[in-house]
Amino acid sequence: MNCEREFDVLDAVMSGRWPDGCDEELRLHAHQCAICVDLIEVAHAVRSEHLDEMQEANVPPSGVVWWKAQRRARQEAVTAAARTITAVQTGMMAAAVIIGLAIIGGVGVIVAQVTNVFDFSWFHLPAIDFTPNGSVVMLVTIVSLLLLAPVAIWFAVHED
Amino acid sequence: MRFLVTTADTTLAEIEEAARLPMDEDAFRSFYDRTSRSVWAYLSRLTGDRQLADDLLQETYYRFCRAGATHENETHRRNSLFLIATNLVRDSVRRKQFSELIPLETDMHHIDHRAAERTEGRTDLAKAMKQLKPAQRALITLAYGQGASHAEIAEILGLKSASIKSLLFRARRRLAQLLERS
Repeated sequence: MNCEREFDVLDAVMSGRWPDGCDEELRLHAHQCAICVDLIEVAHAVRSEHLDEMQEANVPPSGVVWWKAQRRARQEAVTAAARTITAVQTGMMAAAVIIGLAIIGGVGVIVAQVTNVFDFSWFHLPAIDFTPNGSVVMLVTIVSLLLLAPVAIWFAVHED
Repeated sequence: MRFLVTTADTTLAEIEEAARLPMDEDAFRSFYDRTSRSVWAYLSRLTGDRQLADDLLQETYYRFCRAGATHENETHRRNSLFLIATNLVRDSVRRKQFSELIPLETDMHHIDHRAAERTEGRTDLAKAMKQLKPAQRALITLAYGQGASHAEIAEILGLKSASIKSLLFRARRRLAQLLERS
């Protein structure tokens, strides 16, 4: 598996000096050494084909690749930002809906009645006082949230 | 890499200095012009599919840009690029049903027979390479196509540097046998 002249032979092949640019002694060794015979056959074939392929390669211009990369990076950044905004707004809307349901229309009362019938004594929503001096400001806030949340969601998810 | 290509208006020192800085457009374009043909040839050899090599080339440079890494020198930068290219080929091969793209060794007799019929004694490196394992193909291409050192190959393929010599020896022996057969 080891040949002390292997790297000399490889260097000759890779630099294009093989066989005419090499000394006679290296050529003689390379023809007698099984490792070097394989090395020359493989390295010479692969290197030649690689150089041919590099010549034939029809790569796009660097400016186009740079421009496409920048455009794609921007698109990915926008998509990531939009995803975050949508997630936050969806969470806000869900919270608003839950709070709204808890407050509006005596949901607490209905739940209390249901729990009386079915004995769901373990399940209680907090009772909220709807007297004018109690939660008027809170009620206005919740109703505003309920009205504005769908609008915010629409602005977040619609594609323009 | 031993075969560092320089353009007439760019010195080696400038290239090495630029490798330590984040890439702007000019730096990218210069780096791309120096490396893209070599990367394409590498991708083409590994995948055996020129169309796929075209696609993977752009993806390689996009991911390279997105990583935004700075590098110790030009060689390190090139190795990072080839590492990305190698990983993309691995992913692509996995997606494309491994056996479809690269014939399995158990099918080799059958494939050799068909290949021999098609090529009729012509030495066909591409077909012989396709019969190697993907890792062997990458080793051979990096070592003899790109002229990469054992340390560079180890870095790109994520292997131990000490194991490269024996792996390369086995891959080379296998390819030489395949070339002799054809």
